[in-house]
Amino acid sequence: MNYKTDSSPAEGGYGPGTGMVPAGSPGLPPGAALRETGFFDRFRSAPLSIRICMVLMLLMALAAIFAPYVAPFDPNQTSLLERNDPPSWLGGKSGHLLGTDQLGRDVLSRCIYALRVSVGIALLGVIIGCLLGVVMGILSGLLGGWTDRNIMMIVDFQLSVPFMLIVLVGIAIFGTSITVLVLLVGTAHWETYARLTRGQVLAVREFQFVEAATALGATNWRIARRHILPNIASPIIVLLTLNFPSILLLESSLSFLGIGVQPPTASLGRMVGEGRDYMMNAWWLVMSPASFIVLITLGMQLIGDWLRDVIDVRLT
Amino acid sequence: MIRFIGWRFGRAVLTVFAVLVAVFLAARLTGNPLDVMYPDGLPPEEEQRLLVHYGLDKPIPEQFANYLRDLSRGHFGDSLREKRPVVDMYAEDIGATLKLSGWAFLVSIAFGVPIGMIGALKRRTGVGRLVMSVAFLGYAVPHFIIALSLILLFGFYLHWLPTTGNATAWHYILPTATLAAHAFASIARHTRSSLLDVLSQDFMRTARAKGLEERVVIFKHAMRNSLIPVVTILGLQILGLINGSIIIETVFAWPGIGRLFVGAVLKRDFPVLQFGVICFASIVILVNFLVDIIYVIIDPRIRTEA
Repeated sequence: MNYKTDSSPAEGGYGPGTGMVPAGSPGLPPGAALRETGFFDRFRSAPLSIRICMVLMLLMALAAIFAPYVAPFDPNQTSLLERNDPPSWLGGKSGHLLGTDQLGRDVLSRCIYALRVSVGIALLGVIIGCLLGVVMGILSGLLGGWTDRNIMMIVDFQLSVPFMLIVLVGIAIFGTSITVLVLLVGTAHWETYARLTRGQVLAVREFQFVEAATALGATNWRIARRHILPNIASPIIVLLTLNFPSILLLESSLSFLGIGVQPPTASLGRMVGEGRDYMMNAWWLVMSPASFIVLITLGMQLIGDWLRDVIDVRLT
Repeated sequence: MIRFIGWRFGRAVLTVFAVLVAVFLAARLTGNPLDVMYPDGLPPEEEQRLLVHYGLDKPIPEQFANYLRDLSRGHFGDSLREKRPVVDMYAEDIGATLKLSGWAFLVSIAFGVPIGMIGALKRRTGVGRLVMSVAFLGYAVPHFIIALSLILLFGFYLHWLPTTGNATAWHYILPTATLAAHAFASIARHTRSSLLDVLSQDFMRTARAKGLEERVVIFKHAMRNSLIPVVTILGLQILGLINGSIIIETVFAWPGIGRLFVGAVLKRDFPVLQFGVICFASIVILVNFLVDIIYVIIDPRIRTEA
C-alpha cells in the first residue's frame, strides 16, 4: 500500500525495494519506504497531528540537550521565602512559570533537568535492548539448533513473567544505582527485537542469493550484515519508537516508587513521587513533571503508531 | 486435544520451574546471599551461624536440592523484618489484590468491548473518533499519573471519594478505575480492529444480502467472530493488571500483595520478595495456560499440535 518501490532509486545491497525480494512476500516486511523517500517528503505527507508531535518531540530533545541554556533558573537554587509558590499565571508572586517546590526551587527548571535524566535513561535503555535483541535474534536464526531453542526459551520466559517483577527483584539484589537501572530497563523489550530479527533471518536464509553467497564462502557475519540488517532497519525503527515511551514509563514508575533514580538526581518520575507529599496544597509539583511524561509518551506513541502504519510492518 | 493440554501444561510447569531456578540463582549471583538479606552487615560469628542455619555452607547443587525440598513442603521462609512466615503475610493480603484486580478486569471488559464496537461501527463519525481517543489516553498515560489525577480531582478538589485504604465500597472506585484504564483501552482497541477486519469479510455481505436485520448481522455474525482474537489478549491483560497493581496499591495504600512486594523491595526483605515472585509468576502462568485452553475450545479451527 505504502510501498513506493517504483519511484525509488536502487540502492546497493539486497534491501527490499531493489527488486531482489518480491513485494509482499510472507515474512518480509516491506520496509523500504523510510529510506527511499526523503525525510522531508515524509514529514510533509504526515497528518497535522503527527507533525505537531514531531515538532514537540524535537523541542523536548533540544530542551534536554541544552538544559543549562534553556532552564530559566538554577534547578538547585533554593529560596525558603518562595516555598510552594503557585505558577505565575495562577497568581504566583515570585514569577516562576510553573511555580516553586517545597524548597523554593523553580519547578520548570527542575523539570527540564529531569527531562534530561529521564530521556537519557530511556534512550540508553532502548539502545541496549535493541542491540541485545538483534544480536540474539541473529544468533538464534543463523545458528539454529540448540542455540535457537535456548534463546527462544528465554524469550518465552520473559513473555510469561511480569517484567516489573524482574526489575524489582533486580533492584533489590543489585541496589539502586543509575547503571543498574539503565541495564535493567534496557532488558525490558529485547525479546521484541529478537523475535523480529530471528523471523527475518529465517525468511532471508531461504532465498537463493543467500544460498549463493554462502556457497561463495560468505561468512555468517557477512550474511547478517549485508542481507539481514538492511531488511530489518525499518521495522527496528518502528520498534524503537514504540519501545521508547514504554521504557520511559518503566523508569518513571520505578522512580516514582522511590526505587529508581535516587536523590539528589531528579528524573520526572522521581519529581512526581516527591511532589505527592505536597499534593494537597501544591498540585503543580505533581502535575508539571506528570505533564512532561504524558506529553512525551503520548507523542512518541502516536509517532510510533503512525510509522508502523506508514511502513506497513506487522509486529507480532 | 488432550495432547495439546498436556503439552501446554508441561510448558507451564517448566516455566514455573525456570522462575524457581532464576530466583535461587539471583540470590547467589552476588556471592553471599546474606549480603543481600542483611545489607547492613553482620558480626562474623553471627554470619557463620546463619550460614550453617540456612545451609549456605554446603555445595550449590546440594543447596538447590534443599531449596526445592523446602518449597515442595511449603516452607517458603520467614520475613526478615516481621519474623513470621511469608506465606501468612501473602495469604492475608492476597484477597484485597484479587478483589481489586477482579473488579478492574470486569470493568475493563464491560467498557472495553462496547467502546471498541462503537469505535468500529461509527468509525467515520466524531463519536467513534472521540471514544477511541479516550481509549488511546488510557493506553499511553501511566498508571501513577492517572491515579494522582483522580486523587487530585475526586479526593482533594471535589471531596467525593476516599483515596486510601479499602474500608468501604467507595474506596474501590478510584483504584479500580485506575487499574482498569489500561486494560480497558487495550481491549477497546483490539475489539475495534478485530471487528473492522470481520466487517470487511465476504460473509458479512452475504448476511446482509439475504436480508437479515442489521442487529442480527452485527451481533450474530460480526461480534461472535471478532471476539475470538480479543479473548487471547485477555491473558495479556491479566499480566498488565498485575504489573499495574504493584504501583496502584502503593499509591492508594491498598493493603494487597503488590504493596507488600514493593515494601519488601524497599526494605530488601528477600524471603518476602522470593515468595512474591513465585506467587505472581504462578498466577500469570496459570492464567496463560487457561487462556490457551479456552482459546482452543472457542475456536476449533486452531491447530492443536502445539
